[in-house]
Amino acid sequence: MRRSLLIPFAAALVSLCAPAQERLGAYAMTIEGLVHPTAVALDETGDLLAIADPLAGKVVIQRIERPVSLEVNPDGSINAIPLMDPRLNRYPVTFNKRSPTGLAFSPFGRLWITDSGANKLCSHSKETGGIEKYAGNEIHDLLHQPGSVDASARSLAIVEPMLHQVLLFAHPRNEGGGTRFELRARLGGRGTESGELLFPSDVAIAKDERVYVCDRGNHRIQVFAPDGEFLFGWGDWGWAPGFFADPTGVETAAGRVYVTDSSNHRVQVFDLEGEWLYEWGLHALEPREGEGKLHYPGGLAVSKKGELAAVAEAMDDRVQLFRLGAPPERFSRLDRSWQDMTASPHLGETIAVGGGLLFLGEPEGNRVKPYEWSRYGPRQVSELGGRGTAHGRLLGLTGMAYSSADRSLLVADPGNRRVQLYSLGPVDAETPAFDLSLGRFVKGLRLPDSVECGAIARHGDGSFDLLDLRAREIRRYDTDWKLVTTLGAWELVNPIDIEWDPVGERLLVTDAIAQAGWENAFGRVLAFSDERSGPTVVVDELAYPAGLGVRADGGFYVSDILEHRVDRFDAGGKHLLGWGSKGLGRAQFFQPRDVEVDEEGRVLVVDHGNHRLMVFDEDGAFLEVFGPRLYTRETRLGEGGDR
Amino acid sequence: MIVAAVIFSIVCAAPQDGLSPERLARKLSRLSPRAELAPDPTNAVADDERAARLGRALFFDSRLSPDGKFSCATCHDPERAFTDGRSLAEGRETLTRHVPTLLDVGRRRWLFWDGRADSLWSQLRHPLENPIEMDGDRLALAHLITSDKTLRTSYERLFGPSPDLSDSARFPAHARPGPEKGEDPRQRAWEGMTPEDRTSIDTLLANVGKSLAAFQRKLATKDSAFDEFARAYLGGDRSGDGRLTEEARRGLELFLGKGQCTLCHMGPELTDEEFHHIAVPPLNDDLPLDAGRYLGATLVREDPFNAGGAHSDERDGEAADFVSLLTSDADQFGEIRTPSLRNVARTAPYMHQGQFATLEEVVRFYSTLEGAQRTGHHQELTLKPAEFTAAEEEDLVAFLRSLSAPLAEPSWSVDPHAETSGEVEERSR
Amino acid sequence: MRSFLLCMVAFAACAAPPPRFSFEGDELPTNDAAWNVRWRTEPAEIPLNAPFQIEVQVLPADGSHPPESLSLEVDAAMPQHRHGMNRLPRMVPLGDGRFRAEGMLFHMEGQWELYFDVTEGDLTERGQTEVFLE
Repeated sequence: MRRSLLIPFAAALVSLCAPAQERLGAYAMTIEGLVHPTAVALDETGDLLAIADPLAGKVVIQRIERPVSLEVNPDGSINAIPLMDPRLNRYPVTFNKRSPTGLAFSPFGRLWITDSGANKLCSHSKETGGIEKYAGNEIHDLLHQPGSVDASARSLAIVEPMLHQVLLFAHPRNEGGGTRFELRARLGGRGTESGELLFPSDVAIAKDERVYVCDRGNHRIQVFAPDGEFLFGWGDWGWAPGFFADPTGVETAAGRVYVTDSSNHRVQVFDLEGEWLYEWGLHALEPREGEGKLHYPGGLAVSKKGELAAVAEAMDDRVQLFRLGAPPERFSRLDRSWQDMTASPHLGETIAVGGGLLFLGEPEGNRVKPYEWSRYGPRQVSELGGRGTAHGRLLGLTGMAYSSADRSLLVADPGNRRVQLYSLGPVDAETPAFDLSLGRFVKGLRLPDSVECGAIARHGDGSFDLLDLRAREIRRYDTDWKLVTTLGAWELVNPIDIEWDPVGERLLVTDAIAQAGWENAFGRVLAFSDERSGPTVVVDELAYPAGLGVRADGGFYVSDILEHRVDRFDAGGKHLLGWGSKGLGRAQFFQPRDVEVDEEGRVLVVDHGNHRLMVFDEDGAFLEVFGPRLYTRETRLGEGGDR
Repeated sequence: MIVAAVIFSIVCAAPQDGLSPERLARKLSRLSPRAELAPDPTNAVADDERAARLGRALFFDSRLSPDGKFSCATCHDPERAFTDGRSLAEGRETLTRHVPTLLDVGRRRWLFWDGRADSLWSQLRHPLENPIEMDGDRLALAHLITSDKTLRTSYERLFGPSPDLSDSARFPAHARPGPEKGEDPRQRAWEGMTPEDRTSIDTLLANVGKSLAAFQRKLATKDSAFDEFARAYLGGDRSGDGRLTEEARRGLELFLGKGQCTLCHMGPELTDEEFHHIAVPPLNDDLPLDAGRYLGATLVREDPFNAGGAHSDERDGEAADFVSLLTSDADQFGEIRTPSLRNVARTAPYMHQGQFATLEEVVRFYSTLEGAQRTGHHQELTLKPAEFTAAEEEDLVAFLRSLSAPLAEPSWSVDPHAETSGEVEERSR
Repeated sequence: MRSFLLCMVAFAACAAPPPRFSFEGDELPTNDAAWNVRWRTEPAEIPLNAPFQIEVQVLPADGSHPPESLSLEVDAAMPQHRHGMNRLPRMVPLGDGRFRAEGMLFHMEGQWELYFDVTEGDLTERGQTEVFLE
């Protein structure tokens, strides 16, 4: 696998120095008023910027004033060129609460839009403003959770992350509903070898029709010929130039390849053969910093001539625009934020609690961090996992559930397609700090080829449920880890979290989009009690329910990413109370994710967008916060300033 | 008088974090005596004196480079402990790493700072054919061997008939393999040769490498003052026959104890022969990031001249296992080979880019980790600063100095072509 | 008489003795008690930074015969240093739940954890032990 990486890699080992101004990639402006923008696309002229906002269920098209030619000041810096006020020049493409995931302007005046919730493709006409849904078209039979898309004169490429492949079509002649989509090739297939893909996240078709795929799970770029033959690739997990950590977006323009290197907080630029040219991006440190600094850059669009780039940051509700002039001559990796030795916890989306212990999932590090929390705030006592394919290691982390009865943690390992059980030695307030031998891998279950694992819920007796994100159903395993049955097929659309309610002996599931294609579709909480009959709807009309935490009395809490709040319901689904709004204060959140209730009835909320863990009492009164100082100081000071 | 007594007693009562004599003896026995130089079954002539003499002749022969500007000895200078005293090697351009010493190089498991060669004999082609080092090529080497009467005779005595290179269409004057899409005419010439002809040249190249390896195995150093100390101590003489100064002796205990040095600098060669990341900052900002073992492991596994390859004289032995079982992982990025500390006082400057001019600077780095370059944003650094006092730093340096020793057979370090013959004394100390 | 003998044979067959380990060595149960693992190294004392082998036998904890499809992976790590071996040992299956792991190498002194990962079907279970190398 490595041979093809060697030459471009060896040549790419160049590092340079640059003044901070250029490290910001000549930041131009920020487009705000968005919810959770994931994909962006620029049209042929560079006048129109389309932004996909799946949580808001809409696509926004932004007119951009054609930038004047680049001016370089005598001292070498580049002025930020003001663009026309975005609020004056925007119009939405209403989408009725669907899940627009991928965007691409075609050369023929249309905007392609994929919908991963409904498994559909549609296109929007620039001229008429209408949407063609290709109702009844055969193409929809081919699509399974379609993600990013790109279009060239001759090709249309659609990424299917859960199937680890890219569908390559001949670019169709648009003939309304009867348009024929001719499939030319399927690129990829699940794996780590050359030409295989693991949760690919984006695709870009170059001018010569070669297809560049952002192979996120393998932290590399893979390049295919127009007929689907694998040509070459470059990259590996890492931080040096030419290496990636969770690369998310890829774009080709003006003879270059641009990649948003998400967990490295930067954009890297290569030539079309994978030779590293330069990179830009200073790590945002202050919450919501922006102003050219990058947090987790995701979707990417670059204008055809390469003079303008748009970078979407879903976790910060914005798209940043950058002017790209001639690449700076020198760059350095010795950015202060990189050398900051205080490793603050990166909170992933999931946590687990029990027995005085807290487990934080850290997907960037592919590990779980157990904390002991009996006295003065959480204290990390060990580490589980670590990146790798060997038993006990993890490639990604999507679900966790702890059982205090036997001090064991069950973890969903999506990259390795398995579920793994770890046990922890006895831990209490007296345990000396940090022992890497405290946890041990006990056993693992390899999942069948078509299962992509998400959340986990353990029952008291040792059996467990696993959410399959690809089939969108729940797999139930008995105490011997044998599959007993599956639940929820055809009923779940966008399931996110599952929790076992021991009192009601039922499985609760948050489903973020209830019925795709319906007007005013909402999220809901479902309960599966009886394996034979279907689920009952316990709570309806939620905006975007994500995390679920169950109380000892069968009541539960639900977090909402769209409304930035947490709500409490009784066992029957009656709403009792709720709290939260968008922000950094004590009763505020930013895209909250997992919710757990500990043995003392405290409510723990992963305030994901704010990098912090919030702790409340059962009625939502703030108790504690845990996270990096920059994000928690406002909370510690409390409302009204000083303590 | 009373004041002096008080001071004296305070000094004496200062707590010694010392090892018990039994523990010290046990740890000492791991560092000394040295084992015999192990045979190298992948090299049939490794211990053949005739091969060593041929190797020595070639080592000092600048005809290995096309313009006669470089021989091996140019950078591996016998006068300077077979290194060059500079931070970065000076080839035709400045290179990106420091010249490693050849003292005791026969004991190394991996060659180069990233371990891209797994034997001394397969190491040759890298500096030989690197455009910014010697810029030679294997065809020129083959022509040299076959056209020079003395060399040819020596070669054929060891390896049998040399290839017939008279047909210049088949065997151009200059040719060598190169990178994908390389432009060098020598590379095109190599690609124009038949596979059989290429193999015969490669065999010659391997044989020349084996001769050079046989020579370099002779660059073995004698026991150092430290070894003499250890011999006496382990023999029951707790003063170690006075072979170490008090400072060096304290330094030895720091080396074994507080410094935790033997985690990597272990065994009689004071190296584990493996690779670690110790976050040493680069020499300057202009240098490329050093991929270290990440690149080296990939290269050695794919090297046709490795221990499992066609030119190895033992393709299924332990050495072949070392390379065939090798793992390669992104975590290896930046890992650098642990050098041996024997003769370390003679090989300044230190670290893979010669970042530290003196041993004091090296010890200071381990003591404070000041300037340490963390690998990546989300990575943990497991190395902890040793926090030596100033006196402890001096003691540790004193110990390191006690690891030096002269060559056991100094005549091997003399250029056989040199005009002045008969001066056999070991000049570098 | 003949029926009595037949019954005895049938009885003997049903009461076949459980499989036994075929060599002396250290023994450990896997972390969820499904298997018993016996192992011994060659040489008996694990050398520091030099290759060694491990002979392993895995037997089900319930006394049944090891299934044909059983497989074993041997690995090791130094948790305190966050790294493992620099090599992947070669596994040689020898039948009857016996395996040999060749090319093991502990290149550093200190605390190692030695792992025996037993896989049958989709389930892998780990047995482990600590080795302190000085």
